[in-house]
This record gives sequence, C-alpha cells and structure tokens, in this order.
Amino acid sequence: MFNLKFRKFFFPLVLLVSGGAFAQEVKIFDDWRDFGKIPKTWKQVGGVITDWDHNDFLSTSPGTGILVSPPKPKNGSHLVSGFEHGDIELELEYMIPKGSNSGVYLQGRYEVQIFDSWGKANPTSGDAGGIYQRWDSEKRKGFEGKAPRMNVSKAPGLWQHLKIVFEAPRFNQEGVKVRNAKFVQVFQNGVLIHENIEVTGPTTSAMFEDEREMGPIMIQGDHGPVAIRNVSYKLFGNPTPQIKDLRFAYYKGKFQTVEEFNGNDPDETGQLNKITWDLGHGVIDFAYTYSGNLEIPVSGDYTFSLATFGNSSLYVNGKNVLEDQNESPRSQTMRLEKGSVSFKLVFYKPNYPGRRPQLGFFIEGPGIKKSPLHDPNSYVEHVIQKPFYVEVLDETLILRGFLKHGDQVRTHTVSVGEPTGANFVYDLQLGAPLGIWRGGFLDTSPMWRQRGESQLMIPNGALVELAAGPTIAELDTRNSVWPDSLNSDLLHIQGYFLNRDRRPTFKYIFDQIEVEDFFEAEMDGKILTRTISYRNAKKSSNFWARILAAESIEDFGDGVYLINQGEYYVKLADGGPSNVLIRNSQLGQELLMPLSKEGEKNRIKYSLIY
Amino acid sequence: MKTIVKNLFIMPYKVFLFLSESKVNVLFGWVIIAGLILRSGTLIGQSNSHSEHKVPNAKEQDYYTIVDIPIPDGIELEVGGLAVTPDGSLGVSTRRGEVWIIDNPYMEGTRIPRFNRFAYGLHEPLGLAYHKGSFYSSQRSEITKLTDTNADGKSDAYETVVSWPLSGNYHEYSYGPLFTPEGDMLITLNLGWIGYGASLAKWRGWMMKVSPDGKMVPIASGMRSPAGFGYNAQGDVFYGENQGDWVGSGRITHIESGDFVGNPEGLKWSHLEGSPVKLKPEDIPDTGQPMSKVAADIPGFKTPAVWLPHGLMGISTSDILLDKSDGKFGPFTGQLFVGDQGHSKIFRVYLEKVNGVYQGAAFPFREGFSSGVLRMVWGNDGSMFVGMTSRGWGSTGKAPFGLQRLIWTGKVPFEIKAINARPDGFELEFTLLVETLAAEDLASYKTSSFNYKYHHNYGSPVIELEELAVKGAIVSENGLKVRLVVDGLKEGYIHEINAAGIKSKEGMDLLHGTGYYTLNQIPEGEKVNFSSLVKTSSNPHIGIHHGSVSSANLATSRSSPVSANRISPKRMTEMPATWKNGPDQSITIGTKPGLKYDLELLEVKAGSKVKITFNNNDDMLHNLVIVKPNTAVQVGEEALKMGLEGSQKNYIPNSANVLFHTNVLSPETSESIYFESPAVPGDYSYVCTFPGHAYVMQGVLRVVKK
Repeated sequence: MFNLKFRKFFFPLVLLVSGGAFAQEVKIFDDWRDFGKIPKTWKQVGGVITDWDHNDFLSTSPGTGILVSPPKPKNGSHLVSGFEHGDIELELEYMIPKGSNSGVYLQGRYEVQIFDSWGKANPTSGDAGGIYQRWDSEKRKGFEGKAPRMNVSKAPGLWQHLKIVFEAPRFNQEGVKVRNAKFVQVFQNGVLIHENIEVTGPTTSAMFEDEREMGPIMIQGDHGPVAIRNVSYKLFGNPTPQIKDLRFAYYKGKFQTVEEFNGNDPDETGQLNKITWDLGHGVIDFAYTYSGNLEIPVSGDYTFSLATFGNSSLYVNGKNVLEDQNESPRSQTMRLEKGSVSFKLVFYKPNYPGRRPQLGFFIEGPGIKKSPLHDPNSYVEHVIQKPFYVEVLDETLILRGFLKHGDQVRTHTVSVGEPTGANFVYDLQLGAPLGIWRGGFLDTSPMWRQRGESQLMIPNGALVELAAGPTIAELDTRNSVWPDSLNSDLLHIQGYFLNRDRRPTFKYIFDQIEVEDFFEAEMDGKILTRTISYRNAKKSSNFWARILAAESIEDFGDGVYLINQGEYYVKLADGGPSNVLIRNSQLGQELLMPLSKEGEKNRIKYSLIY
Repeated sequence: MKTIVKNLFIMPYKVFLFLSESKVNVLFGWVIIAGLILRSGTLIGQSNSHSEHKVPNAKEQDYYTIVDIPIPDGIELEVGGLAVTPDGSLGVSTRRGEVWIIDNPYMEGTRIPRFNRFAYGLHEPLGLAYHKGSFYSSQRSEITKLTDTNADGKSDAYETVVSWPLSGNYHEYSYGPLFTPEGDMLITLNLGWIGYGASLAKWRGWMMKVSPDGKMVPIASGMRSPAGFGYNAQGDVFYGENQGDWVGSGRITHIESGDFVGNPEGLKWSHLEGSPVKLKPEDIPDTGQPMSKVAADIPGFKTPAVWLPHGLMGISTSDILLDKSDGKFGPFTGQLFVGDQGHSKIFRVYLEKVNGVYQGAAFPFREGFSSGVLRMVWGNDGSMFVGMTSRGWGSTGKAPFGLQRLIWTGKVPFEIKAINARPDGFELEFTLLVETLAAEDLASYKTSSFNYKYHHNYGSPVIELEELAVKGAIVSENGLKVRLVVDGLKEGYIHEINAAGIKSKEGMDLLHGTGYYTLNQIPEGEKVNFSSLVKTSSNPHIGIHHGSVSSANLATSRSSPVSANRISPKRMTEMPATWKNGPDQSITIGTKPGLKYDLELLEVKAGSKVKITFNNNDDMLHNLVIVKPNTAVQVGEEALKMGLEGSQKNYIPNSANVLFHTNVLSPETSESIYFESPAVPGDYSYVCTFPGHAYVMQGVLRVVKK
C-alpha cells in the first residue's frame, strides 16, 4: 500500500470534437443530459481520480463530461439512454477503481462486461470485455457467454476504451425472430476481442426478458463504482443511396493531367449499372468519367470516400469536393438534402504498368454504413495474410524485427515478451523502449510469410506507445531541446545479455556513458520495472536521462505520475529522487533526471504501471 | 537420348527420326538418309558400340548421394547460414531468426541427429560462422556474436559486433560473416528493391570488412544480390551474383579492395571517407554493350571470373564453397562448388589465372535437392551439408526448406574436370581416360561464344551468339586431356564447350557434356601446328579437319536469333482488325511473390475473343504461356532444354502444346495478347516457362461451353 498525496491537482479534460460534422449520426456527450435522464446516484463531474490500489474513487472535480456512479451502498440505478437503437456502433471510455464491476447493455439486453480484470491470465466471460452469460432460472445456472479473446484490461484508475459494433435481432412480419442479435466487433483498448458473436437472448440482469428491434443503451450502476466519458455512437438502418442514370465516357491515351482529356470527344460512351474501370480498355493508360444522380434518402451529412490506384477526383452538384490526386484513401463530408444529387467521378491512370487499377467509391451517411458505389471488380481488397502468432510460454521471449511506431518504421528494434504478459519493445538505436503492451505477444506474419515485404512485427495486444527519442542525451542547458536520435558515430550498440531467468540487459556506450538497461516484470506482469545502470566516464554534468515524454504528466506525489490523463502510470523507485525535472516540450511534457557526474556506477529505476 | 542428339549434329543433311523406347530406357534412333554421303565414319561405329557395350546411362546419384537430415516437426529450418563446429556439430541459422546446433548430423550410431536451439530472435540471419568458441551471424542490421557463457547449450550473450543503418526495405539482406585469416570478418549488403535495385542506406551494395572490435571499412561496390561468397584455393575471395538489373546472368567475381563489380547503385556512397572505390554512378554508361567491352575503358571495373549462363547454369547464384577435401569428396579438389536457389542445384567451377586475371569454366554438378540451395559447408568427414530455403521465391525442389548432405560414393564420374584456355582454343581435362577415336573426332564437339547486355534492365537475352568451328582435337599421351583448336575465340565472351560426343575408355558418356568458359584473357603461348601434326600422324583418325565442314555441320543446329517483336499467331499483341467489337473478354493478371500468378483460375467461353494482359509486378522475369491441358510442366521442361536459345526465344519451345504466349517481361512491365480461346472446352493451363518457374507458377484457364 502506498498513500497518494495530491500536491498538484489539475485535470485538463479533452473531449473529442463534437458538433456539426456528423450531427445526426454521431453523438458525443459533453452534456450528459443529451444522453437521457441521469439517475440521482450518477454524478456529472469534470474530473475523477483514483489509483491502482483503492476500492473507490479518491476525488472528483467539478465540471461536465464524466458521469460517476459511486460504490455501494450509495449507488443503485442504471444509466439508461433516452433514445433507442437497432444496429449501432458505440464507443465509450470507462474507468473503475480496484475490484469494481459494471457493464454496458446494448438494447438494454446484451451485455459487454466491465470488470477489474487487471493482470488476470485467463479471462472468462465474466471478465472485462466478456459477453456475459445468460441465466437459466430453472437450473439456476449461467449459460452461453463468451470470454474476450485476450485480457487487455488496464490498471484500475486508468481510462479504458470500448468500441462495440452491434446488430439488432431481426423479426419477420409475424414478429418471430429470424436472426439473432450479433456483436459484429468488440474492441477493448484498441484490440479486437470479439468478432461475429451471436447472442441468443438477453444477458443475466438485463432490463427486459424479451427481444425487440429497438432498445436503449444501459450502463449498470448497481454493482460497483464506475466512471464513463466520451460516449459516441452511430445508428444504422437507412438504405444505401442508389445511382440513377449512370453514364461513362472513355478517353483513349496516356494522360498526365485532367486537362489533357477534359473537353475532348470521348472515344466511347455508354450506360452502366455500377461504376467500374474494367470496361475492356486495358489497365495502363486511360481516362474515364462517370456521371449520374444519387438518390439521397434522408437529409444529412454524407461522407464520400475514394480509394484509387490512379488519379481520381469527384464533383457533387457541380462542385469539386475531392481534388484530382493519386492518393488513397481520402474522403470529404458534406451536407446533402433528400432528393436527387448529381455527381461526376473522374478516374485516369497515366502509365503505371504492372499494377492493376483500383477505383473504389464509397458513401457513408445518416444511418448508412460506409457502402461501395462501385462494382466489386473495380476495387479488389488485398488477400489477407495468414497470421503467425508468437506467444510467450514459460520463458521470456526476445525477437527482432521492424516496428511501426507512429508513422515511422524503426529498424533496430527488439520485442521482449514476458510470461506474465508485460511485453515491451526496445529500440537499440535510441537505447529506449518504444511501447509496452498486454494481451498476446506478436504477429510475425509480415516478416515470416512469403518474402516478408514489411518485415514488421506487430504487437498483438493493447499497446501503449511511448515517445520515440533516446533515453540518454547531452544537453547544453536545462532548456535545450531533447534530441530525437543519437549520433551514430558516438553510439556503440553492444547488444543484449541474458541473466539466469533469460531476461535481457541491453548494453550500449554513448559518448563515454556506459549504459546497462534492464527490464523486469513485477506483480504478475502488472508492472514493468526498468533499471538503467550507468557510468559517466566523461564526468560531464550535461548528461541527462529522459524517463518520460508525453502529452501530459501529472504528479501524484511520492514519485507517482499519471500520464496522458489516465493512459498509464509511472512510479519512480524509492519515492522519487529530488532532482526530477518536469519541463514543457514539443510533445507536451517530459520528465528528466540528470546523470551523476561521478565516474562511479549509478542507477535510475522506475516502473511503468498500465 | 544422347546418341540421337549427337547423331543429329553429325548429320549434315536433313534427317527423319523415328523414336521408340527400349526396355533399358535408352532411346535408339533409326535414321533414314536419302543420298547421304557420310563425311564422318563414326555414325555407324558409334551406334554399334552403343548397342554392344550396353553401358547404362550414368546418373549423378551414382557418384554423389543426397541424404536427408530429418528435421523434427515444428522446426522451420529455413536455412540462412551454416557453420560446422570443431566437434563436428552443425550450426544452422534460419530465416526466422533461430540458430540450431545439430549433433550427429552425420547420422551415425542411432542415426538420429539431435537438434538444440542455441539462439533465437535474430532478424533474418543469412550467414553463420563459428570462430573461437562463438557463433557469428549477420542479421539485417548487425553482426552478432553469440556465446554460451555458462555451458548450458544456449547463447546468453547476443553481442553486437557492429551495427549498420537500414532503410527498412525488405530486400536489404545482409550476408556473412566470412572470417579472414587475420580474424576480420567480410560481409555483403544487398540492395533494396523499389521496382529496381536501389541503395537506400549507407553501404548497401557493398562488401565490407569488420575488425573484431567493430571497425567497419568498405572493400568493394557494385553488388546487387551478393548472397554468397567464399575463398578459392589460393585464398582469394569470390562472390556470387544474382541476375537482375545491370546483371545479365548469374556469375562469380573475384573481389579485391577497390573493385567495382557491376551494379552502379552502390556507387552513391563511393565519395564517403574510407571508400577504396573511386568510380561514381555517372561513370557507368548504360549502353547494353557486353560488360567486358564497357569495363575495358573503365579502370576499377572488375568483370566476372566465371559467368553462370542464366537458365542453363541455374537462375539464382548462392553460396561458394571450395573443395579442400583432398580427394575425400571426389576428383575436384581445388575447385569451387556454387549453389543455386531457384534450380535447387549445385554447379562446379574450375578457375585458372591468365595474365593475372581469374577466369574459368562452370559445369553442372548435382541437381535434385529438396528445396532452394542457399548454403553449403563441409562436414568434418568430407561430406557437404546443403542448407535450403525457398520461401518467397520458389524453387524446383518443392519443399519450403530443407537440410541435406551430399556424399561422394567413391566412384569417379566421367566429367570434364577442367578447361584451360589456350592461345588457339582450349584444353579439356577429363576425370577418366577418354576413348581416342571419339575424342579425336571433331564432330564430338560443339563450341560457340556469346555474351549478355550490360544495362539497367533486368537480366539480358543472350547476345552475339556465334558458332565457333572446332578445327582440331588432339588427345594427350596420357589419354586424360584433349587439346581443342577453335576458330575465332573472343576475349570477354562466354564460350560454350560441348564435348558430349566423346566417351570414356570404358564407353561411358560424359555425365555432363557441357561447360561454359568465361574467356577474359586469351593466353600467350604456342599454337597447334596443323601441318606438322598431319605429317607426323600415323593415326588415320586424327581429328584435324580443314575447310568448312564443322561450321556446315553446326549451322544446322541453331537458328539465328529471333527478334523479340516478331509477330506470331501465338502472340498477337495488337487486336486483330476483324474484332470489330473488341474482345469478348478482357482479363488482367499479375503476380504474387513466391512464383505465383495473382489469379489461379481464369474462365473463358470456348471460341471467344480474349484479351489477356499480363502485368509483371514481381521483382523477377516472367512470361505467361497458355498450353494444352496437362502439359504445363512438360512445356516448362522443354523450355529448360532450349539452352542458350531459350533467352532469345522468350523460353517458348517450338511445341504444339503451346497455344498462346506473351514474351518474357521485365519487372514492372506489361503485355497484352489477343487470341481466340480453344473451341474444345477443358482445363487448359497458363504457366511461366522461365527456367525453373513452371513447376510452381501455373494457373488453370478453364474453357467452358459457349
């Protein structure tokens, strides 16, 4: 146990941009009254805090955006939406204190479980992300239910994300169910934990015993304390707009710009049922224009997307909404009124031999899922790569490959998988970890299938990406900007060395700083502890270690920090040394510690808790 | 079969052949010749001797046995590197990053080898060496020293000897290390591939030397895909190159510090400090002239020691291994063995030095390995371990990976052991005594010269193919050598020397009748004096001929090069004018990595007008050939047998089974062909007949009723 002190307390709450763009389709609540009636036991606040070791929230701060249900006996009522839904895509974030329990019920009937499952090795349907069991009242026993594919739960007190794509049950005219309700996809903390899971009836403790086409969203308030924020959803059910009077014009030749064929007499024109480039004019050089009218079923915001190989542009009602580009994919959202809307699509391919053209044209709108307006042959999705999961058994696994980090590919990276599930990846050129994750270890199919053209290892779990940049650097002053790489002439990567438990210690020399970097999972993999041992042979006082770089660093006291408003915690060993420097940076904030200028061996130790 | 082929070029006139198969699986030919005057008396004699001696056709396996080393289930032994330890165990690094130590790979005693995983998690380590108690391996980005510090059989130290930058391109393979006698390490760094070979990070396309303490210095540039390198008997370093851009064919090249060896991409780093290579990218002209002609004017430009003609001597040169067995592995001590991944074969190379320049001959040696041959290493008993992988490229050996051992049976095959250049021809040395009559018969030989284009394009057709007349054949006194006098030797050209007509004293055919000699230098020295020979000869059969006999003989055997753009009814690249409404069906087909078309099944209506566009979006050469049902492999094998002509004729054999075809397409190019689909419904095939591809690169063209 350790005690929290709240030396500093500020909680800048960032809400997703809300408002106009998706007005009718996506709701994002900063004022919960839009969601529905708020029971008295749920409190609307601006901030809420706890740590990984308390059974209740430790404090709240006034404001809006977050709804908090307290622990028993103060709680009781469920939070029920004022609207009903059928097919829906729902997203929300939840936070629970230690040991708590809640749940999200689609249509008030079908539950995705919320639970403190932090660090649990083998999750069941009763753990977070599980599709909770139904109840057989005669046998007095649960049945069905589905465990999440993996446990990607984070520590209590951290915000966790759920995305649920749900399809309501279908009924015939007599009211007989002809298709079960279905969880099309459920993502927890960015990881797909269910796909195409049917549920045959309402979950235990549902609001209703029957099944219907529509029902409200319900969040359990009578089990344990829970906080909810950033709820958004899209409702589906409207028909895809149809194209009427679709015509094409074909221009023969090799064109570098639209001007080269625009205004010419086409070599061929005709009618089409569906948009396609595959009209027998080859795959290398051509230009097509397609024109027609879209029958818009309801007024609202519509998003047009193009996924093309070859140049494309789009005009709606005579206005150029997507410019002539060979970039894919791209989209534009605009308001359209119910009725007929004219469009023109231009597609040309100036000589890229050896690659098949691709013309994909999609629409998404109020109550309309993203749907193709093209012929299937016009846009062919890539064949899936057979996955290759590498799982950690009873010994630490260490595997090299390239890593996608943000939009960059890092080439000198080593993934380390812990039997307890505290996995991380280390960049040898930076001497720094780039990410930590829990769940599965790696998908290596991008390296190990065929030629392995990307050579990527894909973390197969809920990834917390850490900022790129070296751990050790020399700064001219306390205000010098932290570098984003180490001078390769000064860096001598020495590799890694396994201890008796076969855990690696990474070694390198930068300038004259000799570094040994060791990571160890503790508390059954709930935390990952890093020990940086170094010897400052240069005896210079300009060397620093950067422990953290993030959007925000919040000091909880005693060396404990909350990062990015609840993404993960950092705990410095021994209550945190006194010489910690927190400063603003381009990314947000960073936490530095000076390296001792004595030539003896020294160390910095801290834990990542997530 | 050999007899007939031989007869064919003995006959100066048109002949008709009827073939049948005998019980001993030997083909005999009956030859009907109208108005024939035999210029050579050997035809009948040879036919007789053939039937009298009944020497069965020798096979490679009679001399060299391939033994499978059983790999336990669950171990994906995609071999990237091999190294034998002093205790005779075999270290194997794999493309999935593991290093295995195999005890008892010789399969003695229980006959079960034992696999122990020594290290793992490396990034595609394509080389392995054992040195002073540690294994060394090149990962993509570094040389790693692997050491077991606590003697539990597992590496605890994954020590970085030197690290180098990468761009992140998959094609940036790193090979080695090869230890020098001084204890330094040589490595080679593959170019990246972005539609062409490109040097996207420092020193890609180079051979580098690394000291034990991690100092890295550049040695030579111009490499494209330097998958294998090794020493010859003199301790000089040779590397193997793969056909591709700027590389007309596979080959091995002698490397010395400062050399530029062909692909100019790596030269973008030659300005850097420490580079012994002074050439710049702009110094390299892109003319399509033979490499030897281009290099002659450019100091520092090193041409290959020995070319391995593409398709005939493999398609993807891999490892180089010196025979230092001292006879334990057969009669080829001092020669080099060169692996080939795509064809699952090993070739043999004899080197000599003329005017200070290495040159020599390549011969077929052993085929039939189970997967793509990438690595070879000697066991401590004089047998050869052969490590294989074919993932991503495919190989004639179908297995995705494999480990085999090649063992000499103790029998000496009848082979051309060596070819040495002479001022007026070549001297062939054989492993066994030759039968004098056939050896002195000029008709037993066939020679030609040819070259490849040196240009930025991928690969090259055979160019300037020219028959060379054999003017004399003199058997040495010891009966092991034949001095061939050949007209019109060309420096800088590859010379095909076919001696398939000769026999050993015991009546055996040559196991492999042909060698390819790269004639970088024509040596000085004494030429054969014909007149003195004729005068002093008491042998009526002495092989000296004058006049145009030989060339007349040879002229019948090869047609002139076919223009790549010749219009053929099997390859209509323009839409027929009669197709007023265009094709009934247009199909676009591309490729997938690993020798595959991206469509496995095409369906067309019988007798319909079809346009097929073949986009070669792979990184190697392919064609698309539509053939009759169940003939894909047959046509592919016929293409393989086309020899040097193959590359000139787009590997399209003259066969009724071939219905329609595209030409061979370079990477990132495309061709459309028009044809009327067969009237008879059925499952026809489309196949790539580029050498070695036909076994795997196929699809079904389903012709359905109209």
